[in-house]
Amino acid sequence: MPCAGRRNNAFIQVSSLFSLDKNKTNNTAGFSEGGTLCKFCYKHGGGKKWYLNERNLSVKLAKELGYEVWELDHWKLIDKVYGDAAKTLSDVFDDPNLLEPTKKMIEAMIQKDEGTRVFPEGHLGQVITVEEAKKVVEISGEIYRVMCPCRWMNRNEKVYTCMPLGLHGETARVFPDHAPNGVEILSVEEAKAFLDECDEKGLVHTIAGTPLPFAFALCNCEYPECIALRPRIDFNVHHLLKGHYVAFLDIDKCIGCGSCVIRCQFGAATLRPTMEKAYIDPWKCFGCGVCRAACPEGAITLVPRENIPALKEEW
Amino acid sequence: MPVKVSVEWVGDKCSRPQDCGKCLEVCPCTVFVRYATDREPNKEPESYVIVPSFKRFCILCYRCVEACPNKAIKVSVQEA
Repeated sequence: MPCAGRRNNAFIQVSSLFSLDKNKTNNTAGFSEGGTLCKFCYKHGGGKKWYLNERNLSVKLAKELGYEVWELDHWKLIDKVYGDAAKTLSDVFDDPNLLEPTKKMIEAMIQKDEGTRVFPEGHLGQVITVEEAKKVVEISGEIYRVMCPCRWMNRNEKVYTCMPLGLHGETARVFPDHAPNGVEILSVEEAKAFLDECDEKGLVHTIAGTPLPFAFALCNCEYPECIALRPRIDFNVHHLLKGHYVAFLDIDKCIGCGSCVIRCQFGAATLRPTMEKAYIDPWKCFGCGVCRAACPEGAITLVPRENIPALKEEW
Repeated sequence: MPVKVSVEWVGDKCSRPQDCGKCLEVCPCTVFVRYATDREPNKEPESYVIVPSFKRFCILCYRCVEACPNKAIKVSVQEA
């Protein structure tokens, strides 16, 4: 347990008084241990969400965990690694004989209490909102931008949307060849403006962390090319978790223009023809907030998942 | 009835995957991906393959089969 010693002591005391003991009896999925936080954030977040904990974004943690060699290999072999992933993804997941065993293998791999780089713990990442992405940028300080390997491998398109964090970004600078225009270094303001731009475009912000709690990249993803979103959406592999928010629609403000329906990559937003209003299925919503950016009437708000009893353990 | 769709690209029959790309153009569901096998930094790749990466999206319209001048694409269907 690499960061257990750094947990916020006050937080632990408070949770053990109020929520931890109470929730022990009806702890179904193992997520409600910390009251408002799921067990991964409780373990790794130091009282915050795991990706907003400064330590998890730091170069120091990565070096402590000994990822320097891994990072070098990752950038050296990125074309090969991602290329193989893109090619084998369809072969594996589209074959019904291979789909179930592969899913079971991945789920067994990530449902462990302690992870390594190759066999991670819990999950591999999460959908986040643009505000949270901006906070990550603020914590991270200087931010790098490289080409999205998923879209390059899957569609031969060069899109510069990936933001490696901490050590991952520092190592990327050693291999500027990977990005044909080199690795861009953005200031915090530039990065924030870029995140807003992505939000307008309808790209889903995700944060990747393998193994928890080491967060290594902030991505702006797009179905179906993304090798994180596609297995989750098409094949229901729970390696990428839903975000900490759920989109809710103010039905009185909605004018039924369908902007949100066009943007939603998860099939959560639909149009009700009789009412001429949109509808967002909270069970399908991943809480990315792309619909909120698209709505001309400002009818969509993001509600914290823990405030909704039915959905608070729906990741 | 559920069907199992199989889309196959035969490399031996395809003459020039990097120039032709008719299958990529005609497909309404963006099933095909042109993929360079020799990706290296700062170098234009030379050998390409066509991969039906998104064959799950196939609607069996057979446009790719009709469009291919070399009959390099095979679409088959069987009951699952």
